Amino acid sequence: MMADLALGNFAGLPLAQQAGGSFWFPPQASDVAAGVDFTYDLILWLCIVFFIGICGATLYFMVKYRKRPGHKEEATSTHNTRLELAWSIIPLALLMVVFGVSTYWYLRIVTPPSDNVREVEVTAKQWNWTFTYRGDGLPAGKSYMVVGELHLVRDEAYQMVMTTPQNDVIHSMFIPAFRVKQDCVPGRYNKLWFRAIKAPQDDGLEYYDLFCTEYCGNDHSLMLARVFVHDTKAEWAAAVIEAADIGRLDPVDRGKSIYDQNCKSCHTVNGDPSTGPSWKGMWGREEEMADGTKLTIDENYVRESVLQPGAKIVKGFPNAMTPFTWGDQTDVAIEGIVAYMKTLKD
Amino acid sequence: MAGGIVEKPASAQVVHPTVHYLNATKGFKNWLVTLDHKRIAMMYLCAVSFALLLGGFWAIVLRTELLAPHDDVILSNAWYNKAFTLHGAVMVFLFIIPGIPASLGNFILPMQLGAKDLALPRVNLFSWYLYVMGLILFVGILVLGGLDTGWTLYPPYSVGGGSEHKAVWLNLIFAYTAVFILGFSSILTGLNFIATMHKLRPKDMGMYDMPLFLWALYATSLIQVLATPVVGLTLGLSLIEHLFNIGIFDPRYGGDPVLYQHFFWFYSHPAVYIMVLPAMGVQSELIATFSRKHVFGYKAIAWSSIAIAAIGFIVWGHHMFVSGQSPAAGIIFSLLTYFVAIPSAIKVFNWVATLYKGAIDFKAPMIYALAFMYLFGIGGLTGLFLASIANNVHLHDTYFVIAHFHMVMVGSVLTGFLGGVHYWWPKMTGRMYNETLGRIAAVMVFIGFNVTFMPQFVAGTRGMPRRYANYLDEFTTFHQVSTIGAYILGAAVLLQVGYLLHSLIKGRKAPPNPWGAASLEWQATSPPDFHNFLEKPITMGAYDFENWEYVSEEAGYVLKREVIETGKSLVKAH
Ligand code: HEM
Ligand SMILES: [Cu+2]
Repeated sequence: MMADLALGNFAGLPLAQQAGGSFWFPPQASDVAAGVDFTYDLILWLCIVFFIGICGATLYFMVKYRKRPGHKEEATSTHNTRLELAWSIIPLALLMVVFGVSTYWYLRIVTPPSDNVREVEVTAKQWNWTFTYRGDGLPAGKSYMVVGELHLVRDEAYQMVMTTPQNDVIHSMFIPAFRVKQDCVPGRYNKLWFRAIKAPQDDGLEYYDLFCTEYCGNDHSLMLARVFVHDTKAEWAAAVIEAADIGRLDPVDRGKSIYDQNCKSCHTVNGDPSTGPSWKGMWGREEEMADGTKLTIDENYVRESVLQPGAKIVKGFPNAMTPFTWGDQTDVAIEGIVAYMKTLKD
Repeated sequence: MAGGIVEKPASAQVVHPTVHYLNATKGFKNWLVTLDHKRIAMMYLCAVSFALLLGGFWAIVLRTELLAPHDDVILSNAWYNKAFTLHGAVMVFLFIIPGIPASLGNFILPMQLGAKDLALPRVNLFSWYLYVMGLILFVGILVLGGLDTGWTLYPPYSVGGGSEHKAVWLNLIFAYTAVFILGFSSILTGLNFIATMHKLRPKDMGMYDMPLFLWALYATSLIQVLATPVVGLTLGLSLIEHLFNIGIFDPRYGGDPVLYQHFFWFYSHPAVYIMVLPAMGVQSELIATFSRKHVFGYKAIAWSSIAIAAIGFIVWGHHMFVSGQSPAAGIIFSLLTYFVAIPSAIKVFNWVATLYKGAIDFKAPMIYALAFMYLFGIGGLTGLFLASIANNVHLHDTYFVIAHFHMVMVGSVLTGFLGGVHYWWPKMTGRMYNETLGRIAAVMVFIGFNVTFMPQFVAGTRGMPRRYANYLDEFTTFHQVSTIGAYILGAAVLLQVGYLLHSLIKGRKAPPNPWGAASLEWQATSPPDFHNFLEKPITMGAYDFENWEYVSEEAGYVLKREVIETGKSLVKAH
C-alpha cells in the first residue's frame, strides 16, 4: 500500500492561543457564520425576554408576598384558560419563527454549491487528520497528503470527503470559525462543505482551529489540526507542496510523525507487545526470528521490515503487517523511522 | 368516609410517637427482608446517596485536572477518560434516573394516597435488590474493566475499535447488563407505582385530586415501562453481533455504528424526562406548600407531564444532527424538539403564577424550589439553542451541551432531590434538620452551581469541545472559574451530609406537619407508624391549606377542629 505522507502537526501539537471574534463566538470566517450567529442572537433575545419575565416576576413575588407578620395569603383563582392558552400559543408561535430561520441557515450549511467545488479527501484516525490534495494547480497526476494542516483558498468552496479506516473509531471534524461540524464514521463517507470568506491573518491569527469533537480515546484532546486560508491559488499550491514534503522535517520528528500515522496501531513505544513487538528498547537488540535464527535490529532489518514485512518475523508474532512505501520519499521516510527508533533505545 | 368517631384524637394530634416504622422491629435482618415501602425507600435513599457522593467525588477529580490547560495536573489522559466515564455513568444510571422515584417516591406515594403500602410490596423489595445488584455490577465493571467510553458507550470505540484500546466487547456487554438490571428495577418500580395509583387510590380521591407529585411519578413510570426495554434490545443485539459475528453496530463486521446511536438515544432521550419529571413533581409540592397557595393550573401541569412523556419519545434524533443522519430527518427532529419545550414552559409559568398573592416562606426546601425555577429556566431555554439545527451544528459536543444538561440534570434534578429530601426529612426520620445550616447550604448550592456552569456556556460557543483532557490556553479562565464553582458545590454537599446526619441524633423531634402542607402524608405521625396512619386520614384536596392551622414550633400545624369533626375538607372541590 502507498502509505500516507506523514507530516506536520501531530500529537504533542503546540497548543497556541486563538483569539478574535466576539464575546460569544470565534471570528465569522465562513459564508454561513453570520447567519448562524444571527439565529443564535435571535434565540438569545427571546430567551432574555422570557427569562427576565420569569425571574423578574418570581423576584417581585418573593419580595411582595414574603411571609411576615400581618401578611396573609389570599386565595386566587386556580386556573385561567385564556391566560394559559396565551402562554402556550405565543411561545409556540415564536418558536416556529425560530425554527424557520434556523432551518433556512441549516439548509445553507448542508447544501454545497452545484459547481466549482474543490474536493479534499480527509482521513480521520486515532489521533490525527490527514488531508489529501490533488489537481487545481498542483502538478498533474500527483497527490499530496498533509497531516494536521488544512489549506484553503479564500472565497472558494471546498467539499471534505471524509472517512475513517474500518478498524478505527468515530471522529468528528469541527471548525469553530466556520460554524461547521460533521462526524467521520468508519465504513461511511460523510461530506462537509464550506467557503472561507476570511483568513486567519485578517484577525491577527496564524490559523483557525480544527478539533475532533467525537470522543475517540486517549489522545482525543490532542487530535487537532490547523486551518490556513490563502489569498491566491498559487500561494495555496506552494503551501501544500511544502507541507507535504516530509524531508523538511527533522528526522526524529519525521519518524515520530510516520509512526503516529502508520505504525501506532500495531506497535507500542512503552514496551507492551501488541500485534507487533514494541519499539521500546528494540534498536540494537538481538531478536530470535520465527525460523529460529537470530539477528540484530539495525538499519537493514528495519528497511526490509518496512518494505517486505513478511521476510523475517520476530518469534511469537503473526505475519500481519502490510508493506509500506512512500514513492520518491521512501528513503527519507525510512531515515526518519530509524532516527525515531534510536531515540527509543531505552 | 365519615367523621363519626370524633372522640378519638386524629393521628395528627399524636405529636411524637414512641413506636414507629423505624423501630417497630429491630435488627439488620428485619430491614433486609422488609416489605414496608418506607424502609425500602430509606434503603434506596442510602443507596442513591452513595451513588451521588461517588459520582460527585469523580466530578471534583475531573474539575481539578482541568485547572491547567495541558499538564497532567493529577490525571493522565487515559485516567481522565476513565474518570469522566465513571462520573457520568454513575450519576446518570445510579443517581439521577432512579433517585427521586425510588427514594422519595417510594416513601411518599402510598402515603399521599392514604394507603398502607404499594400495591406490590414484594416486587418493591425485589426492585431494591435488583438496583443493588446493578450498582455492584456497574461500579465493578467501571472500575475493574477500566471503562473509558463515556456514559454513551458508542461503538466502535466501546467494543474495542481503534488502537491501544483494550476495552473488549465484554465490557460493553457487562455494562449493558448492569444498565438493563438497573432498568428492570426501574420498570418494576414504575409498574408498581402505576398499579398503586389506580388500585389503592381512595374512592373519594379522583385522579385530579392527587398531588401533582403523583402525576409526575405516573408520567415517569409510563416512560420507564415503555422506554427501558430498548436497553434490553440493544444488549441482545450486541450479544448476537459478537457471538455470531453478524454486523449490527460494529463496522468491522459490516455493522453501522450510527444505528447504535439511534437505539441509545431512543432510550436515553426519554430517560432525561425520567430524570426531570419527578423533580418537577417535587417542585409543584414545594411551591404550593411554601407559598400556601393552591397550585395554579393544576390540570395543565398534570397533562403537561403526560405530554412531555409522549413527545419525549419522538425527539431522539436531536442528539445526532451531525452524525450523518439525513438533513430531512434532522429538520423534523428539530421541529419536534421545539414542541417538547412548550409543556416545560407551561409548568414554569404555572409555578410563577402560584406564588402570586401567596405568603412565601423561605425555608430551605423553598430556597431549592426558587433556585429550581431559575436553573431550570436557563437549562430549558438553552435547550432551544440546541434544538435550533443551524446552531446545533456548531454547539454539538461542546461545553455548551455540558452546561445545558447540567443545568437541567443538576440544576433541576439535584435541586429537586435536595429540596424533596429536606421537605420530607421530618416525615421520614422524625427529626428536624438545622434550618439555618439548611438555608446556607441551599444558597451555596445555588451559587456554586452558577459559578460552575455559566462559564461553560461561553467556553462552548467559543468552540471548546467536550471530553477533552487538554485544552487550548484561551479557555483557561473559563475552566478555572468552573473548578472553583465545583468546589463550592462540593462543600455544600458535605455540609448537608454533616447536618442531616447530625439531626438524626441531635435534631429536634419533628411534629407531624411542620410545614402546614395539605397532602395526606402529613396526617401521619413523624415518623409514620408501621401501618402509615394510626387511623384513616381525612381525604382532602392536596392543596387545601385552609384545613390546617399553626400552633407552635413544637406542635407544627394541626388540623382545624371543624375538619376533624366533619371529616371533610373546608374547601369545596374545584
Ligand atoms: C426544554 C426542553 C429541552 C430541550 C429543547 C432540549 C434540547 C436538547 C438538545 C437539542 C440536545 C442535544 C445537544 C447535542 O448533543 O447537540 C440536548 C442534550 C441533552 N439534554 Fe436537553 N433539552 C431539554 C431539556 C432537557 C432536560 C429536562 C434534560 C434532563 C433532565 C435534558 C438533558 C439533556 C442531556 C443529558 C443531553 C446530552 C446528553 C449527552 O450528549 O451526553 N435536556 N438537549
Ligand atoms: Cu434529548
